[in-house]
Parts: sequence; structure tokens; C-alpha cells
Amino acid sequence: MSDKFRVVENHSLGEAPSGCKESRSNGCSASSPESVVQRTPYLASGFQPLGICLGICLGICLLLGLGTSIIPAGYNRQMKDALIRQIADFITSSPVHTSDDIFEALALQLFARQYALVAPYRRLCDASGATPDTLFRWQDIPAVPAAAFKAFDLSAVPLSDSKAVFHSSGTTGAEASRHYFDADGLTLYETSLRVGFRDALPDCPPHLWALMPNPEAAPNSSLSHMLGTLRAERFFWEADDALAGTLKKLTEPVTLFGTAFAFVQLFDGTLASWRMPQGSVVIETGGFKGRSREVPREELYGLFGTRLGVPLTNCHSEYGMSEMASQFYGRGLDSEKRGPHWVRTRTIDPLTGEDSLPGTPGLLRHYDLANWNSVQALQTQDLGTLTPSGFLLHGRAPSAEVRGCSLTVEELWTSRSAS
Amino acid sequence: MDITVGELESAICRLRQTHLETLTPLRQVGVVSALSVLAQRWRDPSYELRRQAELITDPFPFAMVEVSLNALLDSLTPERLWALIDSEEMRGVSGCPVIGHVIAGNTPLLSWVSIIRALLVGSGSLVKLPSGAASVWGHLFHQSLFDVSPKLAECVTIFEWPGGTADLDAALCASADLIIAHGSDATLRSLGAYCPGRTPFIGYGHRVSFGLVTTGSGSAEAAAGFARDILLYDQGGCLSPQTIFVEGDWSETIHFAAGLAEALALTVPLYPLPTRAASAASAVREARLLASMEEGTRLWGDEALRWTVIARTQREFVPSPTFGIISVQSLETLADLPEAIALVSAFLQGCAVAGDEQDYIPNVSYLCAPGEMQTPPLHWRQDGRDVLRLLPGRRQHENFRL
Repeated sequence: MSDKFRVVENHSLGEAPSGCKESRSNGCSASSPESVVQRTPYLASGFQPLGICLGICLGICLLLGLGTSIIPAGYNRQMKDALIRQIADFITSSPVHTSDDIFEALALQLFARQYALVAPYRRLCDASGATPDTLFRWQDIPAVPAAAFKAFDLSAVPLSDSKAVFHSSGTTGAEASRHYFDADGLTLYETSLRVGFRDALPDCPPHLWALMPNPEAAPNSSLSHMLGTLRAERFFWEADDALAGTLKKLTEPVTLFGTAFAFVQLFDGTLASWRMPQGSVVIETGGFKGRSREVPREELYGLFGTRLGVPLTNCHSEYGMSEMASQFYGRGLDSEKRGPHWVRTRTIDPLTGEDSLPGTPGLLRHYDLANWNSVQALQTQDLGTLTPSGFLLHGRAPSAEVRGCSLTVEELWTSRSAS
Repeated sequence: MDITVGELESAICRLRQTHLETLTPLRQVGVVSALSVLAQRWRDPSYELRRQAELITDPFPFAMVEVSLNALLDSLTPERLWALIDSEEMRGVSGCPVIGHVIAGNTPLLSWVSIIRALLVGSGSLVKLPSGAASVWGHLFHQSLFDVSPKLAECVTIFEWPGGTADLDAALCASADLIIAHGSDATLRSLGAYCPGRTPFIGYGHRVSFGLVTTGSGSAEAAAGFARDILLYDQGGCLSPQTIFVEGDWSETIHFAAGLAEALALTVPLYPLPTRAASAASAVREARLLASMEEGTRLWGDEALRWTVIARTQREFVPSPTFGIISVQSLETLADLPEAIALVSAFLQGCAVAGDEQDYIPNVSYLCAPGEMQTPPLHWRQDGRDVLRLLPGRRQHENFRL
């Protein structure tokens, strides 16, 4: 614990680690993350005291023993950058001890880093006059559309230095999203997903089974990687017979985590029903993506009860995307999703580009401190309504336009991929 | 109106009868005469149906459709109709008894064109209009035909049902003598599969168009023309330009793009549309953000999200999400054009050219000046095909299938 505190103390906001000073003296260019942080005005002027306060606050939290046992001690020692260590500490701190001020300070520093190192993002920011010199609120950090992960390589490090790349799972034939993680970013991602899962679902049975390919079989699947990181004991993929047989023999409660279509395929493949041991939990994620018949959510959750014997109170949903490191969780049929304390969400009126009116739906815009190597601010095409503890997810904005006779971009991609 | 398969089949039987009793004796001369009278009535501002049409705002205001309507009415003089018939050597040729038309969504006048062509070869028409506001235009035409010639109007039956209604689609394809369908590749595949082996099927798929500005031709007039081409039908038509190529260097491209933005701002009040829906607004914002992430782009747009001009350094055609988003790109020389549009070469429909140089334009079915993209005449050979010669009866073309 003292090690962690020292890390924070030594590298609180505004203080470049000694390694960076060495680097700079050796000709470290402006592309060095540390040098970027040094150059940011909020560190050079009024924000420096805030940064010091932040370091002290985080240190106090950790001294109070608010870290977490599921995160290996010293997990962040190998992180080269002071900022990422501070973000990691923020993530692993108890939500009770994490303030909006600290979030804002970290978000602004992360913005400065990503502005400096991710060229397409910098162009977007420059177009709207948003630079580290002009931003003072996390809400003003420009967001990239999720589609930008298809069109650009959004990476703060050369792609050759990335340790993992996760793709979206679209089925339209269009180009897939590519989300690159460098070594530190991957560690942060894994840390955040562990803490997020633990905080959202503290009572899940520890035996975790995944209805998806294992990470080795699907190295570009963020979902498989996530379940691997969560130490899923078993992966079932296109092995419904094996799963069906195993479910019959269960004696201890299990957490069954799978995509909606994997569950539907399981149910459609047999007439059998199971009684999973009391305390078992089901977590569904994702849509159907043309992989199975579409089943209304109410019906799917009904099937969890009638076919698996898992009551609605033990059914959960996960909402995530390959472009975002962090996840949201919901309970039962409640469409409210809650995110972790290192994520902020706004709803944007697509007509004005500003916050939607309180209580009215808007496009979800997430700010995720765990998106270290790409861009933290993500504009989705999903509609949601903010609630005091999260947001109600309404899904994609319905298309109100009847198409004319012009070829759509999607049709073009589909036809190209088909040919 | 909900219809049943039985009602659909009965309607086709009635159309066969009217084909024999009305269209065959009426001959082409009677059809041409009736259509020209219909056009005259629509030109009269006091014509009741026109006055009704002028009140239409959904999906497009009358001012928008009027541009295409006037061009179509211009095609309906006896001289032009006979010229069309003779150009395709269809004088005296009788078409198949009943043509089934499947009309694409959001295309107000497409049903007019399709029915008129069928009538010119003496075919009855069972028209499936799309669900949606644009269908009112099909009904207006039918009413208008009734005003001019009730007997001719009996040769046309209009129904509406949601696209993809399997039993009705199958019944139409099985009962009609020829199917003309407009829609996506998926729609055409689905309908084609319902056609029995000997029922000819003519499909018109979704297409894209582009513009070209040759050296020194990027005038304010050209920009104004392109502005109209882009704004009409909210850029959702197959003749709506999605990319405009400017011959010359980057500075010329920027100059034209700025002029186009100015023209769009001036033109947009002429064609008012309701406030953008959330999905469209979101698509425009996303397109603008993505464009701003590209290296070297310049961007112009309005707050109401009706139009966006993106000057790009890249040469290749950039498909647009529509909604008034136009890409303006440099072409060093016109010889680069075929390569620049290679991505969409299989889907090209039209091209508007500012300037005289047209030798480099690849095989598009509609070539025009800026401002004329949404005003194709009746004889426009869509997809490069004849418009009347495609329609003869089954006996002459038993194996005909497109």
C-alpha cells in the first residue's frame, strides 16, 4: 500500500516523473506524453495546485485502505506515465472518495495527451477551436463519433507498439472499428473492467462461464478479452450440446455471461430446460446482429427464468462497445444502465449539439478515463435519458426518413464485400 | 388500406379485362391525347388537384417536387410523346396486359413515370405504392387521369402495402405479366425470387450520381445549379450528386467549394423542410466530425444541418450519407476521372457537368448541366435501358428477364 502511495505522491499532477526529465534531456520530443502534460496551461498555472490536491486526495484514499483486493498489488508500477498511474489509482479508489474535481483534472490532462498524440483527434479539436489552452471543463472535451474508430487509427502510440486491437462485431459488411491498446492502456483497461465488474455486480457467484469464444480463439474480441481478464473458468462457443450437458450437472451457482444471440441459439437448439443452482446469475450483452432470431428483451429474460431457472432479480445486462474501455451494467428488465465513477455521460440533442433538456432523450456521449490510448470522449448514436444514477438506454435513434432511390453507404459496403 | 391476396388477384383480373375492352380499342393516339390534356390541366394554377398538391409538405414540399413535375409535364406534349414512341420503334406495338409496378419510397413522381410508360404501350397497371407520405402523389395522378379519361383511369389500380409483405408481393409477381420494381438490391432480389420463370422482371436498383466542374467552369451559376441538385429531395435521389469533382488544383477546389456553400445558403430557403429528425441530425453531425478528422479538409455547413460542403484532398469518390452532405474534390486532369469513380462505377446513374468537356464522362445514363439533375425527361433511359421497348408482352419475350 505504501508503494502505491509513493507512486501518487511522487507523480501527482503537474510533476513530471524523473524518467521523463531524463528523456527530455536526451531529446525527448513533444510527442512524449510527459512533456505534453508539462506543457498544458492548467498545469503551468492555476491547475497545478489542483493537481497536487488530486495527488494528495488519491494518496489519502489509498492510505485508508480503499484499494481493492481484486487488483494485484503494484499492478501499475510498470506504467511509464505518471498520468496513467493517477488514472489507475482513481479507478481503483472507492467511488465514495472520488470527486468530480479529480475526475475533471484527470480528464483534462488526458485530453491534453490525446490532443498531442492522436493526430486525427487533434484535427477535430482544432476545427472547433478546442485545445488544451482553451478547455477548462471536462464537458467541453470534444468527442469523436464511434465511427471514427472505423475511419482512423486512433492511437497515441505507433500501431507497431500496440499490444492489442479490438474490433467491432458489425455484420453489415462495413469496415470494423479498430481500438488499439498499448501495454499501459491494456493494463488500465483490464484494471477498469475488473473494478467495474466487481462494483456493479458484487454478489455474482465466482464461477464465471462465458458464452463466447475464448480470448485465444478471438484475440480481437474485446468481450472475449474481458471475460478472460475476469478469469472466466469456461468458454462455450458453438458448443451448445456441451453447455446443455454441463448445465444439467451443476451443483454450485454460476455466473453465466453471454451475448443475447448465444443465449437464443442455446434455447432454440434444444427443448430442454435447466434449474441452475440458487444464486446463479445471468448477464447478457450485445444484440442479435443477425446471428439468431431477434427476441424481445422481455421474452429473453422470461426464457432465463423458464429455461435456466434464473429469476429476473438475478438477470443483468452489460452495455459496452469495442470503442470504449469501460462498461455499463443494468439489473433485470430495468433499462437503466450505471457506469463506473471514472466515466461520465451526457445526452446530446442532435439538433443543437448541446445537452438535451433534463428528462428528455439525447445521444449518449461518454467520457471514459480508461480510454487511455485512443480518445476518452466518445459520441454514440444511441439514445438515452439521464437519470440520477445513470441513464435509460433507448437504443439507436429510429430512422424517420424513408429512403429515396440513392444508394446508401451501407449498401455500397455490402455490395463491395459481397463482390 | 389493408388488402388481401384475393383482392389483389381480382384487381389484376379486372385490369386484364380493361386492357382488352379499353386500352386496345383506345390505341396509342387516345392515350397520347389524354396524357397531353392531363399535362395541360396540371399547368393550370386553378386546377383543383394541383391546388391540393401545392399544400403537400411531407415528405417534400410542393416547391421541391414542382421542379421535377414541370419537367415531366414538358415531356407530355403530343409531339414529345410520339417522338419517344417512335425513337423506340413502338408505334402500334401493344404491350402486355398487366404490368405490376413496385415503387420505391420517397419518390413522389416515380409512379407517374412508370404508369405513363405503361399506358403508352397499352398496358394496364397494378401499382404498389410504398407506405408513406409520398404515396399521395400516386393517388393524385390517378385522380387526374380519372378527370381526363375515366376509362383510362380504370386501367390503373393503386394499392399500398408495406414493403416485404411476402404474400402480397408473391401474388403480384405471380399474377402480373411483367414486374417493374424500384428499390434496394435486397428488395429486388426478394421480388425477383417471387417471379415465376416466365414473368419478365425489370429491376431498378439504388444508384449514385456525381458532378464535374471542368477548368474555369466553376462559376456562381454552376454552383447555384449544383445547390439545387443537392437540396432537392434532400439529396436522397439516385440523381442527387454525392461528390463533385473539380478539375484543377486545390485552390480551385476550395474556391468552388466556398462558392457552392454560398449558393446552398441562398438556395435552401426556397426548399423548406421540417426540422431534421434525430437520426438525420445525428448523421450530419457525425459526417461533419469525421470530415474534420481528415487531413487537409475544409468544411462549410449551416446550423439547421440542411447542407454541408466538405472540400477533400482525396481524389476518390466519397459516398455521402445524403442529407445535403456534398464532397468537393480535386481532379488534376479529367483523365483521372475513371479511376476516381471506380468505387461506384457499377452504381452510377447521372452526372452534371459544368463546362463543355464531356468526353471523359464514363457510362452514365443521364448527363446534364448543373441544376438539371432532378428534371429528367420521360424518355430518360434509366440505367441505360429503353423505356418502352422493355414493356412488350410475354409472347414476344418469353425468356426476357432483367
